Amino acid sequence: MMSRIPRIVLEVLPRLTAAIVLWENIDLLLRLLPRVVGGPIEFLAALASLEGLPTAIGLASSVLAALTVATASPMLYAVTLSILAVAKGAAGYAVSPASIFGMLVILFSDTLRPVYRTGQGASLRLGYRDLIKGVVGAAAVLGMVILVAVGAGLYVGRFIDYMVSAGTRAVSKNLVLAGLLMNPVVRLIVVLVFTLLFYKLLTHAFDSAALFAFPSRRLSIQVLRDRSGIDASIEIPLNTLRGMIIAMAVAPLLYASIYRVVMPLATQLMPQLGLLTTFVARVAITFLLFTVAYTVVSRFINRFLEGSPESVLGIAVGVAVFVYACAVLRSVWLGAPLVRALTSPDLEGLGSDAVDSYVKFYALFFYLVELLLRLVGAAP
Amino acid sequence: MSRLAAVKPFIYLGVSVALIVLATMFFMWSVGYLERAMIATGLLSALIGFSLLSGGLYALRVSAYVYGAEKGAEEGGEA
Repeated sequence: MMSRIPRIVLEVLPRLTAAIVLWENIDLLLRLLPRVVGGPIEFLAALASLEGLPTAIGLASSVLAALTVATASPMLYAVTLSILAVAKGAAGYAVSPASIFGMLVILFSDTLRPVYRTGQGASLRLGYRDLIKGVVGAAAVLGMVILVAVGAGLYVGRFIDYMVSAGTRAVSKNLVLAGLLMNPVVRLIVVLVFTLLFYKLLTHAFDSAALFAFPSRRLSIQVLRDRSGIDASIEIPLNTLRGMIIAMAVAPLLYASIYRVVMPLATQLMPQLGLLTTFVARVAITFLLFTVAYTVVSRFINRFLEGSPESVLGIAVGVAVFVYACAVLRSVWLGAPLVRALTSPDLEGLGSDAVDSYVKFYALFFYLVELLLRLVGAAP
Repeated sequence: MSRLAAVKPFIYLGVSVALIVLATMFFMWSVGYLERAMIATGLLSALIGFSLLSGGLYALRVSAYVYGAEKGAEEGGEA
């Protein structure tokens, strides 16, 4: 009977811990429910409304908490805790430290439970040194994890605070920027990116620390032989945004080349193409060119980072030839003979046209972007 | 030569720690710039921080595996 006690503890402990979260759920519901209770139909209507949202989320997490008590699964516990945190946050409370600490207890018992054999506790012989070593090691691991987690939380909190305050200061100057900085979705993305980053930092640090503590030649050689094994590449966040920024520099040039050089020639040859110079067609082509530039640029960046310089060279030469051809066409169009046009293309005129169209392109572009943001409700 | 082999993983380790410290500094600077409403500069320094951190983690892993290969070799030789 005595030999069964550790087994029973390992089974009961996580369920007791899950009961803490269940209790926290019930506590939250007891505080929230009086606000929404009425008849059954009013109750359902209140749950569906915006004020009843924390209650609805709280109900969902209570069901999950009850399931966690039954199964003692750490995954379920984490999901329950996350949903409970959202419900409590929406209601204006914070999750209790006890339930966060409970995560450690659940993980600990879940690791031990499958490998523990009944009666193993009786045959365990531990010296003081081993005991101290074990306790210090566990404390060091936990301390480092908690330190990084708290540091990351503080850092992300300050980042978001400053972002929002920069947004409130920018309201009078730039509506698009302020809308972006104060948008809850943008904030969520920033938090997710930083959380992933710190998670990767932590796992890599522990991987390396484990190898330093217990070096294994076989594993090391196996990993070093295969390059993908040690490539600890972090996907740089906001790849999309970077591609867009570069595309912003490229797109107006394409626009200028088409509208100032190619289009006048084309309309001389085919007058019905004049349809493309109307306002709506210009807007459509603006966005089309931007999309094309973005697609090409983002692929170009990825190729460049993957280390194939040939395609980069090819695209660069292609752009140069395109600009040269446009400049030559422009001087021909201005009346220069072909040989003269080939040797001294009108790059200056093309450049001034480009500057002009940068201004026009983005006046149009940002006007539409701001309009879209206002329609969606992201900007005031 | 063998001394160099023994020191090699710690050189990688030093490089990686230096890169991670630099990355942390860039992250701090990015918050500082954001505080003074220099948004683009802040985001750019965060991006630089991400790149440096990526390099730092790479070096960290390489150092661990090189150390493992060297150290494991000594043990294998004795056995």
